[in-house]
Amino acid sequence: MARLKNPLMRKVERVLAQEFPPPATIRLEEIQGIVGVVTSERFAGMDGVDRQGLMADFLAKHLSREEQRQVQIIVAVTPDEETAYLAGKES
Amino acid sequence: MDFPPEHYFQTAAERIRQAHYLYREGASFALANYVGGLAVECLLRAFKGRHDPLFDEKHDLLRLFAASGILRGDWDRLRSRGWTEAQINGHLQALRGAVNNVVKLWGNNYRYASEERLRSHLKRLTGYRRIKGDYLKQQTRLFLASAQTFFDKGVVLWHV
Repeated sequence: MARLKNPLMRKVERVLAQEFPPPATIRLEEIQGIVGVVTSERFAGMDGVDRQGLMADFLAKHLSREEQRQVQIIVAVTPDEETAYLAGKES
Repeated sequence: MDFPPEHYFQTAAERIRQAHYLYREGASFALANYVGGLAVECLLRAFKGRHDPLFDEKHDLLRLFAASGILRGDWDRLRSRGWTEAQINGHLQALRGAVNNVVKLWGNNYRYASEERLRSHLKRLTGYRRIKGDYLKQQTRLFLASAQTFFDKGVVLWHV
């Protein structure tokens, strides 16, 4: 992925990479805070609410409250879902 | 045509109602899916339009969600109305969960999809297991539940 300039984004990427090593992928952007997508087979069969609960627990473990406030959303998808998402948003 | 934020908000309310109608009365599940996602997009555009009238995100719901500022609400006003921190966090977490569901299951290209095409697409996407009844109908019901949750939570924040 492109080199991240924001120190907090680098931190978020680093801790996500520990939890979701390859072949999982991580894409982060800065849009009024941090927004991103983690793609992993680990999310298969999980509801969106459970996925966001997992992300919230994980970020709470590694980030301060103020840092967590800078993270808008990290969406959790499977590889198939990501492919569909990328196809759908460009049409 | 230019649409002010209030118009997007009103249209979001119409679209979510129409999505349920298509599901319930029309048995048009592919179209109900598309219209349900459109309701979410309209609500996000309403929020974004309040502070920025330009929409570079096109139909990318995740980027639109981030740019909408929907999570940057005036929480002090909620607190002044008696909301606890746990209630505020729970509200935002439910909103994020609904967005996760909508983003993973919706595409702007669904407007081109026939019932059969979307059924096979969702079977592949959701790890299909044989169920009693129509799989597309079941998936549409789940999707509309998430879209409705997003709408309900978003409406609360709209009025803060």
